Amino acid sequence: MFKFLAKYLLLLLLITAVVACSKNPDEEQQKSAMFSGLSRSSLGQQRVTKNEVPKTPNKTMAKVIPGYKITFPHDHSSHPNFAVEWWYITANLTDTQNNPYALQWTLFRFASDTQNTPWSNAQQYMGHVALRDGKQAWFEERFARGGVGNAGISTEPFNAFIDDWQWLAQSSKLFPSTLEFTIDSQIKVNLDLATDRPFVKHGELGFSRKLRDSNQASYYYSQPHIQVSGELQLPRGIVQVTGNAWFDHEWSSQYLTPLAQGWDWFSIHFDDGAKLMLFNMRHQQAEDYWSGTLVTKSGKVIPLAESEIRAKVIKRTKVEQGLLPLNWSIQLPKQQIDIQIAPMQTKQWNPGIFSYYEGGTVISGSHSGVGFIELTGY
Amino acid sequence: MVPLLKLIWASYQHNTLRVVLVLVALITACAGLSAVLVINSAAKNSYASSNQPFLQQVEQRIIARSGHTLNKQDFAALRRLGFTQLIPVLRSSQNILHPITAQPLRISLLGIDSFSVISYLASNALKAEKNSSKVSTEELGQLWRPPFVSVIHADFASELNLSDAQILAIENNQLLPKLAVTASQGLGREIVMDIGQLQRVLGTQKISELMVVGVQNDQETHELKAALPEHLRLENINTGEQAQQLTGSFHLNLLAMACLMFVVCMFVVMNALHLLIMKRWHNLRIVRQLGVSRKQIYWAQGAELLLISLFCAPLGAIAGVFLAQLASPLVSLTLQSLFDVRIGYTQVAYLSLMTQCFAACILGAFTAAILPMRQLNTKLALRNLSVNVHTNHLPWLFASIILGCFAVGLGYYSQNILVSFSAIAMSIFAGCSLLIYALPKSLNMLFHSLPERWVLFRWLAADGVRLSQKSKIACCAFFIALTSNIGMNLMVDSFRQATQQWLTQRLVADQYISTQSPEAFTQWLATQDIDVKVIERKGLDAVLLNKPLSRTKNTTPNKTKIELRSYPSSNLYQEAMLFVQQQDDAWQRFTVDQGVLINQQLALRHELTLGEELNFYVESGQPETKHIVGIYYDYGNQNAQALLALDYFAKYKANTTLFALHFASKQQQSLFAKQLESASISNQVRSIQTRELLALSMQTFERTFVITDGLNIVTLLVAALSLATSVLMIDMDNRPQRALLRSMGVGNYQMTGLSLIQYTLLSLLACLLALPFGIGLTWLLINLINVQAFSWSYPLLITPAKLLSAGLLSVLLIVLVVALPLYRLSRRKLVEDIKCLSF
Amino acid sequence: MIEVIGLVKQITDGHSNKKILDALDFHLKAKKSVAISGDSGSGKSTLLNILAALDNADKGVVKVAGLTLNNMSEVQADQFRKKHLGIVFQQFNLIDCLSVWDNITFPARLNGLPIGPFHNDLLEQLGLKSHKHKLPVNLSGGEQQRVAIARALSHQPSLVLADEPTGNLDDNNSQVVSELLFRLCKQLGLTLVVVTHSPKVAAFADSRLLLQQGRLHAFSNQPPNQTSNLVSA
Repeated sequence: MFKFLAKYLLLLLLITAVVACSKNPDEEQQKSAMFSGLSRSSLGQQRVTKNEVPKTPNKTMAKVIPGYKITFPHDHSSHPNFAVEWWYITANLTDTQNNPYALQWTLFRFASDTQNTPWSNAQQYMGHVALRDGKQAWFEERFARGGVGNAGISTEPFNAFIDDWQWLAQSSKLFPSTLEFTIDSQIKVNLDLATDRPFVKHGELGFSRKLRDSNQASYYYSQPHIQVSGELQLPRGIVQVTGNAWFDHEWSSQYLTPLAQGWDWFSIHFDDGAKLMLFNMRHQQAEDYWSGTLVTKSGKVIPLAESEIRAKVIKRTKVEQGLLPLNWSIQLPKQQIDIQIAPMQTKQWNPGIFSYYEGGTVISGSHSGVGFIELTGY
Repeated sequence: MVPLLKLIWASYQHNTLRVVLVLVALITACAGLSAVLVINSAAKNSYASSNQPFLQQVEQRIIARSGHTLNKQDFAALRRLGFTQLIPVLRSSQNILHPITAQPLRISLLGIDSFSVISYLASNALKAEKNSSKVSTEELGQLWRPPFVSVIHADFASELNLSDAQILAIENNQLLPKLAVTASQGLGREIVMDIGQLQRVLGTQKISELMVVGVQNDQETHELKAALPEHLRLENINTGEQAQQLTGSFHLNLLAMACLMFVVCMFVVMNALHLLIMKRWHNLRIVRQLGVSRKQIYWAQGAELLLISLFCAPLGAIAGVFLAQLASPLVSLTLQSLFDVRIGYTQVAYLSLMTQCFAACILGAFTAAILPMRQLNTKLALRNLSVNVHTNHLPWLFASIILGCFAVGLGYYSQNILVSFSAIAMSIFAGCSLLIYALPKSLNMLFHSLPERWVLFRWLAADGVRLSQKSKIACCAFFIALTSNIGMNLMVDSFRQATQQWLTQRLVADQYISTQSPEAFTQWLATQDIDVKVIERKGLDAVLLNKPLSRTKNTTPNKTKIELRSYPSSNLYQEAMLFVQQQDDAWQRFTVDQGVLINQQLALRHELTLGEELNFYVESGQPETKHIVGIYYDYGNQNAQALLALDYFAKYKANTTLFALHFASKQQQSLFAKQLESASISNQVRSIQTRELLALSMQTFERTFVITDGLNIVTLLVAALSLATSVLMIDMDNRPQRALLRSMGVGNYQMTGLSLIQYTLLSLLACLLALPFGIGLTWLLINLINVQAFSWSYPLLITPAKLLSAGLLSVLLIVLVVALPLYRLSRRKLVEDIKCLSF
Repeated sequence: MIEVIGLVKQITDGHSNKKILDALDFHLKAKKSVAISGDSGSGKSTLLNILAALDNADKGVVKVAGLTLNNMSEVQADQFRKKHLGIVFQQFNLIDCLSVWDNITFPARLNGLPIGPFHNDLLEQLGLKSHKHKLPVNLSGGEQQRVAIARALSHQPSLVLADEPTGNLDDNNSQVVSELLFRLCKQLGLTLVVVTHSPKVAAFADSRLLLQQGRLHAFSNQPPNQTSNLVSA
């Protein structure tokens, strides 16, 4: 009898302890792809979660076709019928002591399957800002919906904004303009942007093919000749900076195939005033597809074919997500360009919900200069 | 030890009822205590984390000032200024038809801007801040994009019998997004969806508030306030420490009731243990004679008690958890309506609660065992137990007087709720002492007053004296339960009557209109051909400049907000006002804007009296001074409020917060209702007729006190049970006397009837004493506890009929409960009882 | 007065039935007294229970004061005890919350009889006058037993049953109490059945019986050789 009693009590205590100690397992912070049917950012995750099956939105989105004439200032604005779009500013700056800084300001727009509601429309916005000062890296990510009023693009004057991150021009032309944003309340950026050079349309007058023999393409133009001056409020103090900036505006509904692994993108400001843009689409089944544009110091725009670009990874370095090809050798034999690209600093990972590597580079070899590197899908 | 435990175990077979009583009493005590601990702990966790759906640390919000609206543009403008910690929400309460039962159900709906949440969480994750919510973006993503779900907490869903993937329809036949049952943190008693979805379903563009996430320091709060436009203001949500303070008295009340129930259960345990041990003592004596020491017997008893506690505590704790889950909807509603605090579903530390239950159970059981063990000790030591009937009861009278004086003193000088509760406890103990003194005295008087030929009744009275000695504790338990029952009933009844009278008096208009667009309503009304007099109620927020008391908890120096409201000074409205105090020329001075009327809360918190000056300033205005000419009752208002003449508000261009409509006739009122229904502004206007308002208010009132009623009944039942167990216990000592009387020819039913009358007499006497003490308790609750907790009071209204019926019903309950064991005892064969007369 | 014919009473002891009283016959004339002795477990208490209508016989006929006690209803049994029976217990068993006077007059008042000189006389004869208003707890053993006797006689019942009335008393008190009990019963013309082990107490009785093996025998110092079914005193 006592044995039974003892056994019962033990069981009861055990059950009690189990019930008392059980708690919900911690939910893993899942970095899910919110915007299915998208885009360079969804490649940040190797895992395919159940919601992430890359499917195209139910809506019929406009397609990128060759022959479309990009006009300004009209096409500076938003193209809501296309699935994805971004206004991308990268800047290579130096302060009065010649310390280098790399700065990024991006506003993304996504169209999705959502309905129009009294609160918002079917557009979503994401803002990325980053700053590197040779040692440290800062980054912040914001989200907003269209139709609310705190994010969007307006044209008279041109204003691309998300919350208090704002690129505001004086007119419908993009320049002159001011760029203001904060990063985590630690950094405050206030820059003036100016240029009088024409915009550069990539590919076939702005129709930029991303993969050979494929419909993967975007409308893509840049302004690589931006003069920047302004100040950076850093934790250590206010710094006056000057430098060059590069603006990309790209929009598409068919940027990637499901088999695309990611891309590598380079922008370079040569010291002699020339500019170079290179784009490499990495594919699971096909060879890497390189494309690019060279803008000579006189302003001539030369589209670069795949065969004209010889690129090679010199070194892979360990960054957050693994080994990344941060050092490159680029040869453009036709243009007698043989350069090496090295990162300004290793620590340039953008750790948002959408994460990728983006930061400043130093160019050496046949030509010198500074630039930007963007690596996605690693 | 083992043989003794075997002996104890063997005795259980012959004492099943007594053992079951001990077990049931212990389990009940643990269940009650653990239920209250769970409720209090869950609430405390909820306040501490200041959580809202998907978010934590939400302690402030931005809302529109009275008469203004908050809209999307306001939100966008603030975000563009860099205030990214703002999350817009829309709150609505809608009727739905339950998809299975087809019953109407009122549900709170919350629309939240999931994007702002995602943005905030992303930013938090980068900063790797503590207290980051563990909600995933995928979970949030379901809200704003296909499949467009609305989330409901699993516990809330099972309470309402709703399940995953159900689609609910609201009263305008619009369908809510389909349900997704989840256990996300911060969810409460609401269905949460994306704000856009809710706006679409309700056909509105309104938003209710902007939640400010994250703890703001003074600098940040100042910056945010400075950036707010005129029509918006920042206010604190009742959460965190403030919620703890506000709800402290409620939780203390719950805990006090649970402890009371625990104590009364321990009475039952004590009596039941007594019965068990007494049944056993004969064998224990033999065991002593066989050489087992008293110490070994005590160790064995102790081991038995420990094992029983170990058995009962977890069962009781688990039962308590279920009880808490059952009660939690009502508790949440009560706290929401009383204190405007939000309780979400949170994790409770069950292990710690169970440990507390164990400890309480063991402590209680061992304490309850003290008296029976002492009795056992006496029995084991002596051959014959001499009946020691104390004839001197005077010490109890002295004790009663002393305790009563202490109670009065404590009550008079009480500065806080804890001291007030102590005064109440002391007065109850004084009552118990008086009861112990009065019972035998009264029965003695009864005995001497009865004619000698009424021999059985005289025996009843004489034996009653002995009975009252033996059932002292049970009678005291009953007295306590009855006093608190009467006290609480009277308090609630007074409050109910006072509220009803106050509402009836104050609500003199035929209909009331509240709207966010007062101009639109006024314009519309002007175009209608309706014979109606409209009284506008204007409102302003002001800051008090009078020095606050040191003991007020909710205010910081110089920051007491007061609501300024306009009040008409027509005869009708003068008669409608219910004053605590007023000057003779109050209305004359009020009308010419020289005097101000303040509510009781403001008066008590700041010790303001008639004739004193009220110093305040309206935000962005100059400091002003008015004389206090009247103090009025303002039940249930947590805020300080002052009334001024309508003209005062003109200079600040104050907005209208409410319209009171006086119709020329009922037909005009019906016409108005019809025309409003079809008007375009109908969805911007909330209209309620006075009688509906009264009914709704009283409904809310009744719901608030359901818990108290329930606890009262439970405590009374437990006290009745305690008395019933004492019947069984006393019976063992009573048997020889019963047998003796039966042997002299007194019938079985006569004996049972006499015993029943004895207990009825005891209960009646306890009831008679409980009545004045109950009234006293009510007075203490209204004028001490209520004032200290809420800074307002109401008149004590005694309805003799209700009072008596409460008392008599309790006595009837006792009689019914006691009749059961008495009936059982009467079934015993006389020939068995006679054995104790050694026939 | 008492007529018992063929009384059988069995108890169930585990699996078997044991006859406590085995076809017992007993007759006692009115106003007579008898002392019954027997070993422990012989059935004395059972016999007294049956005579007091506290228990029912399994077989046989039991008549007291002309009333058949067999299968009486509870109410009838109560009435019988109230009116016709007075009991003196070994343990005094007084109503401890009532005074001596109230104890003594209790059965009389229960029967609605007037309280008068008879009861005062009882009080005096039993030497309890000075204790009239005392509570039993304040009396000695002998005094308590005298109160018990007075109580048993107060309503002048047909039959008085006394179970070891001197069992808890010393020799002196035993003598006094026995003498009082028997004398008063004689005086009042009451029938008395006393269960006792004490020869001194038994000596006061008109006759003496021995209960053995479930039956009553005439008492002798020798063990009985032949059983006699019918014993009259």
